[in-house]
Amino acid sequence: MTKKDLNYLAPAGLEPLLNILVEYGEKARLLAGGTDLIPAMHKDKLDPKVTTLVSLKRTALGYIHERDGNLVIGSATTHTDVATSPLVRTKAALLATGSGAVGSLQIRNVATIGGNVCNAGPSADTSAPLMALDAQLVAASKRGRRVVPVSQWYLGPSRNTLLPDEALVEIVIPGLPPRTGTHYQKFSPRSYMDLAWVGVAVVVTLDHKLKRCEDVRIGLSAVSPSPMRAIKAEAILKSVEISEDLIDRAALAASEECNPNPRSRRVPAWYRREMVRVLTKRGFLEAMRLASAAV
Amino acid sequence: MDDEKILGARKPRVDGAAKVSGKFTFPTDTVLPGMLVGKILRSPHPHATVRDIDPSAARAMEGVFAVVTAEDFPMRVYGQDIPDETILATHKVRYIGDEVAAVAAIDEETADRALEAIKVDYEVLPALLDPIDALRAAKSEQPVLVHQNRPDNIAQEYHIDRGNVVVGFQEADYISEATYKTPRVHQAYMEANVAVAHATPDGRLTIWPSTQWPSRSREDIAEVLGMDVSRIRIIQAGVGGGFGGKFCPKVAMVTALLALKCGRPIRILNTLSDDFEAARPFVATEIRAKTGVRKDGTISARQLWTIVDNGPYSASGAGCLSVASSRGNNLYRMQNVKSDGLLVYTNLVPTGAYRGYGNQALAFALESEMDSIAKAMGWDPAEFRKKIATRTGDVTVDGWKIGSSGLVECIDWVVEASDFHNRRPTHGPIRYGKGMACGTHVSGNIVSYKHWDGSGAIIKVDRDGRVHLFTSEPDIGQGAFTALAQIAAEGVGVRYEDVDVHDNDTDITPFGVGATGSHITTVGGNAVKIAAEKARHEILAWAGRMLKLAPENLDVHGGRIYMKAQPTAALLSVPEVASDYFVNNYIPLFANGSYRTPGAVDKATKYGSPSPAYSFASHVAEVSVDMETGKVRVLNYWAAHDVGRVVNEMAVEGQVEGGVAQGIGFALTEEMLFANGKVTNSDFLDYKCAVSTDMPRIHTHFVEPIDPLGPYGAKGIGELAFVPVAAAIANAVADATGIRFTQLPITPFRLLEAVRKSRTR
Amino acid sequence: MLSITLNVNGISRKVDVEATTTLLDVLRDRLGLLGTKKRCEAGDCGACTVILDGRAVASCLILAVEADGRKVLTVESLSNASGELSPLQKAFIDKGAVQCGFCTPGMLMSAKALLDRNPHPTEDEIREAIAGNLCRCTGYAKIVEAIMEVSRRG
Repeated sequence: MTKKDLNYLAPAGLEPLLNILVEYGEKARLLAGGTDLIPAMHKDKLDPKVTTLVSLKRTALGYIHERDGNLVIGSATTHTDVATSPLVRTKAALLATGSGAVGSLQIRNVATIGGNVCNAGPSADTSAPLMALDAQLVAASKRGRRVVPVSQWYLGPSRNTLLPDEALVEIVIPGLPPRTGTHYQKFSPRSYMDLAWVGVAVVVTLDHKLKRCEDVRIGLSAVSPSPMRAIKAEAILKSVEISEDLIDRAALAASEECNPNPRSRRVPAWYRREMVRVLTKRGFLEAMRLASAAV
Repeated sequence: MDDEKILGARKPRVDGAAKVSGKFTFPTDTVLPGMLVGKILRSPHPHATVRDIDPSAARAMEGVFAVVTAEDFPMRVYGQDIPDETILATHKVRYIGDEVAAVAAIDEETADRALEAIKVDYEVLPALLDPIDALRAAKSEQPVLVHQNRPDNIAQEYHIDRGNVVVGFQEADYISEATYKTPRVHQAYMEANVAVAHATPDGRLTIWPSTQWPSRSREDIAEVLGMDVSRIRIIQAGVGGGFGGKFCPKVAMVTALLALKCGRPIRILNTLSDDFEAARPFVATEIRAKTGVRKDGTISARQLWTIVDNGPYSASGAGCLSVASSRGNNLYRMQNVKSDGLLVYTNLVPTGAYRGYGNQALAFALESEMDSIAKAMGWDPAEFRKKIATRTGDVTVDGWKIGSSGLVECIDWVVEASDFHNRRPTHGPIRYGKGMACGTHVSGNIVSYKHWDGSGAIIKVDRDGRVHLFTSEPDIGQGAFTALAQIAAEGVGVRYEDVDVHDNDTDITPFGVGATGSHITTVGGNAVKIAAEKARHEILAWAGRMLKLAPENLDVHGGRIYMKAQPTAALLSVPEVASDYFVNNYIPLFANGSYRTPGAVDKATKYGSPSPAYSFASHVAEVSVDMETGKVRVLNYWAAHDVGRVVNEMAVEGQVEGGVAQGIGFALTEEMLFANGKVTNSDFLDYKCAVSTDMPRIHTHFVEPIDPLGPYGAKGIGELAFVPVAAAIANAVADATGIRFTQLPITPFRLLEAVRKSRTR
Repeated sequence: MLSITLNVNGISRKVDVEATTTLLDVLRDRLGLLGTKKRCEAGDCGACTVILDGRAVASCLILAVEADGRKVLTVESLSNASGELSPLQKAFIDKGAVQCGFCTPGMLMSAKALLDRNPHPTEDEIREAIAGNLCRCTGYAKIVEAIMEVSRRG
């Protein structure tokens, strides 16, 4: 199969899209923004089974709204729309930061949040925020809808839990309780046009006295084959009243529980671990400050 | 408007309107009717014997017009300075990317399939992926050699010994010594290397390449193809950036072979990964520098040991070796200097020059040393440099005759503008620092090409008075055409807007060495000035004939001709004179000018003055360093340059700002990475050039000593803008952290590693 | 082959394309609009930036079929019919924002997309808007200055 022989379909709506997926299965490749797909095509890295590109452009999956107290984002929503949406900036500010940190404006104007999630790059900029937000991913197929917690979505670099007849249709982000602060830091050598060397997302909910973490979730990207939660660090932070020492111990735990690629030629693993420690601490402090300020 | 200043003015580029409207024809926009697609088959091995190439299947394919291998043409050995390369590999490949064969096909897909159909039988040889290993491998019991006729794996040695360093070091009160490393970096010009070629039945070969030296390309291509130079025509309107990376004529040569073979117009267009993996990135260097100083603040001796990783073929390697082994010694006063350098063959990507030709690597070493010495001796780094700065009238240790130097004034300006002696206070994990570095560079270089350093210019004054300038000095973006047009306007006595610059075209435009050695404004400019002043003389002579007045009483300015005694009363205009000249002579008014760099450099001792003029600069960088992440940010940048007379203020500012951007990349983020000889970051995501949001505010300043040999006093700028930047940043990082970095780039993890080491010490 | 219609610089153009043909290749190779430049083919350099329905995009990352029925503006649209340059183009020349010029068309389109949405951007907003456009010649200083100048005058 050469590039020239690929077919193209642009179904008008979700139902026709799902019909195509039933018919084509693994021969179909969904086309959202195309910013990962097209370079892969140029490098002949497209799955050889694929015969047909199926465009999402007429499926009306680009939207952001609030439903039952949750933030709901259609999978074909562009990063620009996520990053600049007042609703996202209020309800899930760190996700707006994550989408706003993707590549360049030219990329963000076409690349979609669903594409970012489905391509499952270890350093994907929305992945750590979505992990920390405990997002739910909604996959649709002719068999019905399936809700996948983001923590179960990623199966390794460029692998996700989606079945061949399924399409990711929306991302549901649970509403955040009061006294919650969020923060995402992308660490990369350049300020734009770069992949994260380390991404750290923190969502903190403080107790009434603002002394303890009622809840805390830490999402990490680029430091393991898939985005991950720093569960041990979270447990430490929830255990007792917050102190400098507690934050240091949690940050250290996060750096120990992550699993950066030891063979990376770009960035040594020890450095990524150390950045997880530094940025977890900074991110937690900032999220805590925002949580206190949100009272 | 007539009296509007031309020299020094912020004149817009001559090609500005074409470039902003998308109408400028870059080499990659050159399209000929029926143009075929050329592609190159490259070696997948860093080092291998080619036992057999079988192109028969590819040749038999429909849509394939030519397949060429080393069997099809005599493979003459050529090289920019050292002959060690053939157009296509004969018997052996020496890096991943080495050109083995090429195809001409009807379209890209067919060309790709044809490449796949060429069968090559390789016998893999051990690869030399590091210059130290290469030196060792040559001496081992079963030597591994990149070239069989180079038994040491050494392409060239460089030795100078001036004064007496032994005595000099004995006289020293303090000796500093360290080894500095810079990696292979890429010029990362925005436009790809490309060539279009067409061999026509009249026996001529026309090439539209992307080159920094059209004149020399014609000479080199003629020589390697065994053709007369007049059979070859090189045409080029402009190039989308070069920075030293577009001297190598390889793409043009391979395209030429295909064109000769198939007789149809054909283009080879490099992909970005071709440019990373097989164009000519900048050499990697390792420089051990030892400097002795006396208590009085003078340098008693300087010794350098330089190893330059050349790759297998020496495009600009010899030049880089020479510059990286000596140039910075001319920045300050010193008498005792010894330098020993080796240009070493390896099986990594062959190399080329980059904005400074090794001067930036040496500046990183020597200007870091200057700060280390100042710190050890308790001296102020600015005062230390000023005291020993090379001054007007000096003859430097290498024999440079300094017609003008504004180095001291440059240092004074950056010290004051940057508030150099004050620092921002530490803020949490963020520390701040300022660092200085200086530099000097040539404005033309007599050793650039066969001691041909010079330039010709032709001025034509057309019937309507427009002035056409013909030069083979290329505009690769640096503004050469604009500066030369200003000089032409000044010389002829017309408005800048009345000058057109013709595309480089070796059938029409005279010889020029090209965009190398920061030569164009000074050497090219002198040729233009001479031609323009001759044209002025001719115009006044003809005007005198028309007016029946003595020409010596006339003058011309802004296109108006007047009596010297009555400058406000225009008697004639240049168009009137030009028209009268034309209808009486049937040709437009022509004038020629040529300029050759004076002086000489001794081949054995390398002593002598290679350039008409020398430029100087002093830079200060202000950085912040995050001591927890290791991230360095350049916050502010001050650059003062002595460029002699400023020809175009806006253009020289632009040169400096661009040089600083490239320097920031060289200092902090740019580095070609390899795995088993293969480049692993051959794209703009992984090869990290600075983007707009990474850039600090850049404050520029020009001091203008009028150089006696520069045209109207002007000197070169292009390369020097980049030379001191990495050193200034490294010095600022050292100032902020107390840690001296001897390896570029200063990545966050290298910095953090150094912080950890310094804490355990 | 797929038949599509693009509105390019205000003119409807019908072209037949493969599914995998990029918008960039249609502009350059089929419509002869060589102002839009081709370099990295991966969205990493911004040389191919055009405006698609009001937004700056990397035309090397857009399949032509995905642009079917949409409005594309290229650098060739900036000058008016008689060839007169726009204030943005003039500012690029007058402020020295052009050197080799290879990034210039993409830079101009990023700047235009920004100014169309936000006529008075801050310096930071300008720098962010052009962060996807690599320039190796200018250090971006004069490009930012030129865009500021248009904003000031506009």
